[in-house]
Amino acid sequence: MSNTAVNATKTWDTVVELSHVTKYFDQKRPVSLFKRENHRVYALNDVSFTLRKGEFAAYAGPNGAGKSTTFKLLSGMLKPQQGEVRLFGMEPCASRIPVMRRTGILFGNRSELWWDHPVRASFEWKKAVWDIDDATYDRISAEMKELLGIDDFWNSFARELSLGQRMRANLALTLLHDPELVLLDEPTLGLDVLAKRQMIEFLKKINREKQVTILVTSHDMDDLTEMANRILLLSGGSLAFDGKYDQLVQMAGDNRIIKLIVPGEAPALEGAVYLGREDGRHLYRYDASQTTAQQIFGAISRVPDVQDVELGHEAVEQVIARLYQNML
Amino acid sequence: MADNIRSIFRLYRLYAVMDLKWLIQDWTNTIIILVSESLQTLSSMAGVLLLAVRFGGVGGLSADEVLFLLGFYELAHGVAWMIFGNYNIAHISRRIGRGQVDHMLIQPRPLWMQLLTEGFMPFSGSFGLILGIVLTVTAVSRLHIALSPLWVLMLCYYILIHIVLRLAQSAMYGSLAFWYPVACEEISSTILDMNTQVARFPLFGLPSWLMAVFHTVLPIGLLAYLPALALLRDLGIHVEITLPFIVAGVFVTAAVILFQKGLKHYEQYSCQRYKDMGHRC
Repeated sequence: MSNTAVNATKTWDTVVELSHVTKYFDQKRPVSLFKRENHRVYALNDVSFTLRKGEFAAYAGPNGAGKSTTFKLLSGMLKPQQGEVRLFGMEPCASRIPVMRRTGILFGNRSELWWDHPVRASFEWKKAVWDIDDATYDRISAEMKELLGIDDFWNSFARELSLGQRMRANLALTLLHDPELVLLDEPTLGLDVLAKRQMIEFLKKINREKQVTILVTSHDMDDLTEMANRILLLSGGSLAFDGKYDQLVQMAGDNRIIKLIVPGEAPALEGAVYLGREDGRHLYRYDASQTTAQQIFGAISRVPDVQDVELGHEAVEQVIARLYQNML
Repeated sequence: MADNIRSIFRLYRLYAVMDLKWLIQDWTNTIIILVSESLQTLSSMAGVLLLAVRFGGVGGLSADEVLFLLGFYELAHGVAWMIFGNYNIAHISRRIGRGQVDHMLIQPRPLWMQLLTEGFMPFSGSFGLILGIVLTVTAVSRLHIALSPLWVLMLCYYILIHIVLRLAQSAMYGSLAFWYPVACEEISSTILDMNTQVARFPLFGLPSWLMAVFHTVLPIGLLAYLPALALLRDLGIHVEITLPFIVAGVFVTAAVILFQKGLKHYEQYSCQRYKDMGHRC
């Protein structure tokens, strides 16, 4: 769809290349006490894309779309049944060591920190295992301390860190060997607004200044649109969209969600469609290409007793659903 | 080759420093560890030693010979534990079954090098080794064994066989966790515990078929009993030298084949579970 074919073209500065990759898992599901049924689940189905040096791409999709499987394929933890995966022109499973020297990988729900040691011990460990020279180590760890604020908990035990601190420390550790490619799987998972902002700003900075190629996954459209200049949208193991955010808006519409807390029944909002109630909040949708934020805030201001308002992008699942709907 | 050797020593130094820092970062923790390790080791050997003292020997060995058997066991086990005891390297099925092999695959080091070095704990894991040395030296002195370079060489050979057999069994059975992560998460520990419990007993007097089993398919007799006999008495049959070598070779081959097959399976299916308890615990 859209630009997939164009982006799959290999050039001298290709960092990541997935070529017609299919990955499935055969599962045995119990259908009765003694009977098992074979079931094949496709995590990825004929997925192709390339990333060039200095690109910052978002890999988006709902839970179970195949994002983590792609990351495991890129990290050499899994092998595809069909197709080719290449990083820097090498197959990650076969050339694990040279690939890992140039790649930084962070899984949001996992930690590379040594649990029963202070944070600095994990950095010293990485310095030795990755053969990082003193000058690079001093320069990057100083940068990380400043930009990610890890100096505050440099001597704290990893097990005692808050989720945000642990995530920042993990990100710093991922970048310590000055990787050319950074793969981040849900790096903003569980972070508060401030920590999320710090992380996004930091990623944009290293992408801009060091030309680090970044591929980041999330199922939060707000984070992704803010971070990346290219979006790869995955749905049911296939690439549903590959292009810029503006193109996605053209194809799927620029719908925003309003979450309104008011006592009693849902009030009518001019320019917005009422979707229903969720977690005590009334949900509305409006098309940002038709209705301006000013008009929406005007409509909200006329509602009496508004306790709280939240604005955001549609969930990635809804974007994908609209994308398919508009293409039919 | 030279680069690999340099890397191995660098990593040993790294893990030794980490181990020392971990040990001294909290003295209360350190004391509790030392006391509990001592109690566990002493109580586990007390049974057979008390029996031997009470009855003037057991299983064809005198009380002092039993002391030597226990000393040898602790010495060999102590060396194995000191080099491979940390972060579940010896209990490899835990790492596999908990989905933590992923952490190893993203390091720019060969897996064999990681497995060889990450478990090194020369400070927190040396209690068994010290106890083993004390017991062995005491037994040697009480038995008036004439030490010679050949005897010391034999001692080293049997320690090496002990380490190889323990690790090979752990890796061989532990590889099952690639296929059955939940059921086999603790299989390496179970196998090693079984070795520990039985290997401290003199096996003399058991039926011959059971002796054959304990010296081949379940090589518990090769961990301490046969080495102790060979070091104490001139058996003059040479099987005591060749048999451990052959059995260890078979177990290592099986472990390597199974582990590699398991890794291939892991590349296809990964691990469907992940335990985040600090990924090396």
